[in-house]
Amino acid sequence: MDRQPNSELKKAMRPALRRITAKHMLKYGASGLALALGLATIAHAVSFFIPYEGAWAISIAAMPLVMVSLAAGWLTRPTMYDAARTVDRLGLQEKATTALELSGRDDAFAVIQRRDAIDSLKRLDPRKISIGIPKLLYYVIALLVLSIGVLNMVPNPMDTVIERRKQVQDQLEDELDKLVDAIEEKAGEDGLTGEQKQALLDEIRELSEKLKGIKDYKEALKEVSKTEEEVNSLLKDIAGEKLSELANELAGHDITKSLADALKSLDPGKIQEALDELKDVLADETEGETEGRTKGDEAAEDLRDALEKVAQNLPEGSIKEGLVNIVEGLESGESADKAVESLEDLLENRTGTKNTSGEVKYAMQKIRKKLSDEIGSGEQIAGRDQDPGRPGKEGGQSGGQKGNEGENEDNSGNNGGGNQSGENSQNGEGGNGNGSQSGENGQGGQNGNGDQPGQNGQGGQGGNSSQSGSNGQNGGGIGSGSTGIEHIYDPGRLGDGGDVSHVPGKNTGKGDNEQNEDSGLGSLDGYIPYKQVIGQYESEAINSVERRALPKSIEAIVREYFASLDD
Amino acid sequence: MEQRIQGFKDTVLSIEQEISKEMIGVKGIIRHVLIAVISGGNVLLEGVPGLGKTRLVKTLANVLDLEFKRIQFTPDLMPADVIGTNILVKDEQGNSVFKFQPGPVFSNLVLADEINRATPKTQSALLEVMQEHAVTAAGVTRRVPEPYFVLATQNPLEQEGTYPLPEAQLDRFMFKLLMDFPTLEELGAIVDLTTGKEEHKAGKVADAAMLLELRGIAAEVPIARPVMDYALRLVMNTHPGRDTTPEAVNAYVRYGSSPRGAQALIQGARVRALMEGRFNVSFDDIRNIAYPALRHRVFLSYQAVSEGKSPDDIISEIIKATDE
Repeated sequence: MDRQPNSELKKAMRPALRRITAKHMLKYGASGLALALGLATIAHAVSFFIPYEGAWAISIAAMPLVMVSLAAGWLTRPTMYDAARTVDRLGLQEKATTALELSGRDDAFAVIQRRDAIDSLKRLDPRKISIGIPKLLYYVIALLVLSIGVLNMVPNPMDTVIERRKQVQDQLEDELDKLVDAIEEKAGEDGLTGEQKQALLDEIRELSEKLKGIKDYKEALKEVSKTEEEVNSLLKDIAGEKLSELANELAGHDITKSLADALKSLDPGKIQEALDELKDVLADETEGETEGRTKGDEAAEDLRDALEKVAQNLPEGSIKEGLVNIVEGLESGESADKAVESLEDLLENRTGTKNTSGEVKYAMQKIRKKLSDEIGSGEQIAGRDQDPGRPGKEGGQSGGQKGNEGENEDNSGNNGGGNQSGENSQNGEGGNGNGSQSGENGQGGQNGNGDQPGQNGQGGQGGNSSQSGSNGQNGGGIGSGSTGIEHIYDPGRLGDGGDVSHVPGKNTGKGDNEQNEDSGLGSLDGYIPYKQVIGQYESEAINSVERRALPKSIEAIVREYFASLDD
Repeated sequence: MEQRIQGFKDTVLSIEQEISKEMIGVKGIIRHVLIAVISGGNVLLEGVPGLGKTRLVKTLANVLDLEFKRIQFTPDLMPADVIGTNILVKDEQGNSVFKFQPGPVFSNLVLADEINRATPKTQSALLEVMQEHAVTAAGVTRRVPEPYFVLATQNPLEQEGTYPLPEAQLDRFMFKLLMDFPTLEELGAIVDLTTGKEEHKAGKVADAAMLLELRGIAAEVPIARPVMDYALRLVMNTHPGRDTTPEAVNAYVRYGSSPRGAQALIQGARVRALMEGRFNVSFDDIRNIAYPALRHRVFLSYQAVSEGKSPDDIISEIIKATDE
């Protein structure tokens, strides 16, 4: 109504208006409460099917809906005209509405009518306007409150899942924290610069952030692999820089000049040639310039001097330490041949970053294993590692078959095939080493099949080293030994970009039979890429239906099914 | 003015009471007839013979101190018999001149008894007077006295040899009232009243001037927007095929009410409000008037007739389906 109601009429209407407004606000408030309780009920009900902890948070967050609803109620509160319509329905027979519409008119009819309306309004008991919550809303609210109560009393099966998830999260964080500490420590031993160390730590921290709250463990596995690849790449660069630094120092001495040139070229073949050449020089038995000494002896002395000076010029770190060891060995009468072999080892094994690299590998392996366990949790999987082999000096222990160790107790060829052929696995199928990352990764290529019940599954053989025998690593094994059921998976769905690649390695005679697990798809314990078994499944299924007296239509269904998988 | 407004109810009540002295058991009819008379409308009364239709009009004329005429419609009744005709007469000089001899329509209250027995030509002669309150004969238009009120009756039983009023002509009646047979008690009272020694004669309570004044007052009764809107929606809902039309209307109604129906509804509701002692129209007034004002304006289909549906049934459905 655009007309201002007559003051007397307004006064007469006020009690009714107040009650109508109160009723309106109650209705809105109750609606908001019902809505909030509805959301809370849904949140609690959903928490029985989806593991999440936000049920109470959602419930509390929904409570402001009451305020929002009340605010909406206030904004749409009844007008005087609405009040007039309401009281008219209580027996005033449109007197109030008409009087309001006649506001501002002073003719005889308007005056009489208004007076009549006011008299009627005065006689009206405002309590006739009930201000209770509508019954339906009342029942809805009661029902929702009851539902929430019941849902909170019934044990929620998802609580254990959440608890488990929390534990995994804590363990992952713990591992990453340990890794950060280890990098801080080992980076010093390896002589990494602050910048290099920071770059590594940034990668780890980034992974830590990504893993926080992650619920899809397969996704987490991908993130771990990605980070590991990036860290490896960083470490490789650092190692390269260090070798380059070493090459520069070695170039200043005649005896190591050719080795320095080979190091600069970064060609493994040339490096090997230079080392062989050095061995030949040291083995020269012809008489030298000094009486009583062979040329080999003189060369050994030159080598010792050269390495000593190089060691003095190099910054602190594992290379310097290695060189000092070689020099000390030479001084203590160790053969020159042995010294060259030590030098060879020093150059072969990314020595400049070996401590850090080992820690990263170890930590990543543990994280991946934890995630793999979670992915396969609830399944009956045999052949799990108890603990992935600790790299470096801690040896190549693994729960499964122990990998052949190299001569040195470093990470080259130390790691056992962690996920392969666990103890007491029945029909265990050995791991298929998958080196999926870059051509330099070794490949655990041989499947070990334990077909006899009770027979320990035979672990897959580690990949041959692919880079001049120096890196017998990264043959990421996927082993499964299961009881009764074979667990298969599609690598493509894990986002690894497709089929498993098999990169033939070169047998160096030293680093062979090594099994590492730090790349590829990681430790999907007990899972086999389905493409490896689908052919066998198909032939067995076809044979089976052919042997049995089955209708042709059934046979056709089986054939069509496998044909569709090929598509 | 205020006093006159306040006195409206008392005046009408006294008229009603006075009529009730001679008319037993037809209180509703009396009330609606009074509403129509005050509103200035005409009434079609449907009922079997002998229910007191003539008596009602006579009594009304007495109470209101108005001139009354009755026309018995028959098939041979001519328009001139109704409206009057020019007759040849000798003037004072002995010349023959035409003189208009007014028909029975020249009266304040006219009872057109069994209107459906006359031919359409004669019926339409009366209906023109009802609408225009004027008669045109030999090129001369003559107005009938005011207030002017026609109460037509028709017998619902004997349909043979009758000429049912066409829809357009029915629309000229403000109300169509249905006169039911009295109850046993009412019949007894009627017999007592009319066969006894004691004579109950209704006295004069008002006159033509007062009636016109009442009509003027009634025309000013305010009506709130929602009430007016409700009345209009009721009328709109008598038409089949609209979005808001009730299912019953779509199923059983051929044509709905004309705008005259809405006018009748509002005019009648205004008078009723005053008669109820209110100074504004209520939804109840509209609902009450809806039956007499719309029942002859809602034209039912053959299906409705065959299923025994009456216009009142349909109006009830419309009222039920129309929100206030």
